[in-house]
Amino acid sequence: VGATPKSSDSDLIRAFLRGDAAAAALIVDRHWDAVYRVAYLALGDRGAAEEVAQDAMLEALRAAERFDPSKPLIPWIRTIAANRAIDRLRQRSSRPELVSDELDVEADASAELAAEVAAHLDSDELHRALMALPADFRLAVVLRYLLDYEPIEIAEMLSIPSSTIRTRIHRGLERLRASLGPTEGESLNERTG
Amino acid sequence: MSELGERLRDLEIPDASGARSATTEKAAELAILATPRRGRLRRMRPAFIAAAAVAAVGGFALTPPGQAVTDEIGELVGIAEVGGPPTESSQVGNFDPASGQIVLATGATSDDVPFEIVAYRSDRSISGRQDSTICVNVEFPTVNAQQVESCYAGALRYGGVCCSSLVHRDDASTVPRVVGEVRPGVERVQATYVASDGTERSVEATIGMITPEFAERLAVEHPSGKFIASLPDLAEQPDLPEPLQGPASPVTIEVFDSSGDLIETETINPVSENRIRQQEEAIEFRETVDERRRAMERFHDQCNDRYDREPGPQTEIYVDELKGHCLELFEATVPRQSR
Repeated sequence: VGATPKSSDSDLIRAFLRGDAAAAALIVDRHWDAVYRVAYLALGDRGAAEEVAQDAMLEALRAAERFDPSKPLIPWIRTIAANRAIDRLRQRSSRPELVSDELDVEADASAELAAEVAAHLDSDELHRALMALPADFRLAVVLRYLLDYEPIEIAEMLSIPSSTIRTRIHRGLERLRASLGPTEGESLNERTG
Repeated sequence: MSELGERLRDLEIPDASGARSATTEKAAELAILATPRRGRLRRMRPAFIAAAAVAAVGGFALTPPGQAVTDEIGELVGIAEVGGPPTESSQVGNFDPASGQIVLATGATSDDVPFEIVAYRSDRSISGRQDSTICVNVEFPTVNAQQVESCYAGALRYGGVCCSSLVHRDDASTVPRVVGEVRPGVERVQATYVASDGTERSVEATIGMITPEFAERLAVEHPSGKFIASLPDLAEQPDLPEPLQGPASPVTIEVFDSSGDLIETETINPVSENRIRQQEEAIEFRETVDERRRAMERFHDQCNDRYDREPGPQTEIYVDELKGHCLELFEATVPRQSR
């Protein structure tokens, strides 16, 4: 039975391993958007994101024999994309944003901040603000909220302490919120009225 | 997923349809070129052989049925000494000149074309690793033939024999030959096939192995060996395109240890009808990808920039005139199964 748009991911992988080119194309068609989104939001650079997304898709297919068909495919591919994005950021020569004063961040505080950002920034503002973040902050925010990784998981991916990750996430969210432009002491409710 | 996560998931981001199409095409090619797993037919283009034979070191010469011609082959060839440098320097696969080159075995095809099996260190990256690796060429110094290279990054993990593939025919020899990898401990390899007259034939081979001495000289942690053997009069499938040419009946590779015990068997099967159909579908699919890419380019050239203009009376009329045409072009960019 050949691959069809209705085939499950695991069936498509099996068909790909049998040499079915249509299955390979269907896998890309089905998951490209999610993979490219991870790469673009993490890197903030369309060209680099396209390269990373392509690399991730092809790497996943090359490693398809190691894929566990009992598990969903997309988290696996997105993880590859995240790792390739991390590699790409490491290759960049720019110095990382210094996080000299690590915060003792409560998880709840970041969650509240994230909820505020989500509630008050419109799409254009969120896009602009995210792209304006330092790369390390943006990466941490994207991995935490788009991919739902826990800080400890991100820390393992980046080989840095989880306290640093929590600080980057919190600082990133603070900067996103700051893009709303409230002056010190002005509440978001006052601004948005 | 948190609310912020959902916002990020729904955020409008730049279009990447060009990269998507390119990735789709590359993915399809990956499927077409995917290395078949053990025991399946290996395609026969020399370039593919290089990719498919992942981990080989050593050399064989196949002989006519029942004949033990190991010594004869040595006398026939004599173009380089085992353990010494090759007749010509290996220059394939980021050859590392500092590593030296060692002839692991010499032999000749059944149509008397001499070859040398040469191991050397390469700087090429295997599986993303940046460290060097060992490559082995099958070199035919007396004819201007393509060298067949294979490289490996570690131990042969697949048992006694692995990744046997069939070279249908190339510039080096007019006789089909089989190559593959064996691990230390294999003393003897026998290939059995059906000849064009319908009889079953078995041929013996002389194994070329990276010995402990060679391993030390090459700084190899996990030696293994390679075999190569001619299959004279092999019965082949008729009238198939070059990538699908192969034996009409299975070719069986059997490897034995020093006690004469059979360690493992690997089989190269004829191309199945299903495989042929998949190949044809892949070619057809690749053509549709090309069509979509051309349609995308036409759409961008003829439509996209005009829609990006600031709206105004002139533009509105122009866009209306183009709308039907552009919709048609856009439709052609959409994958067939999505329409």
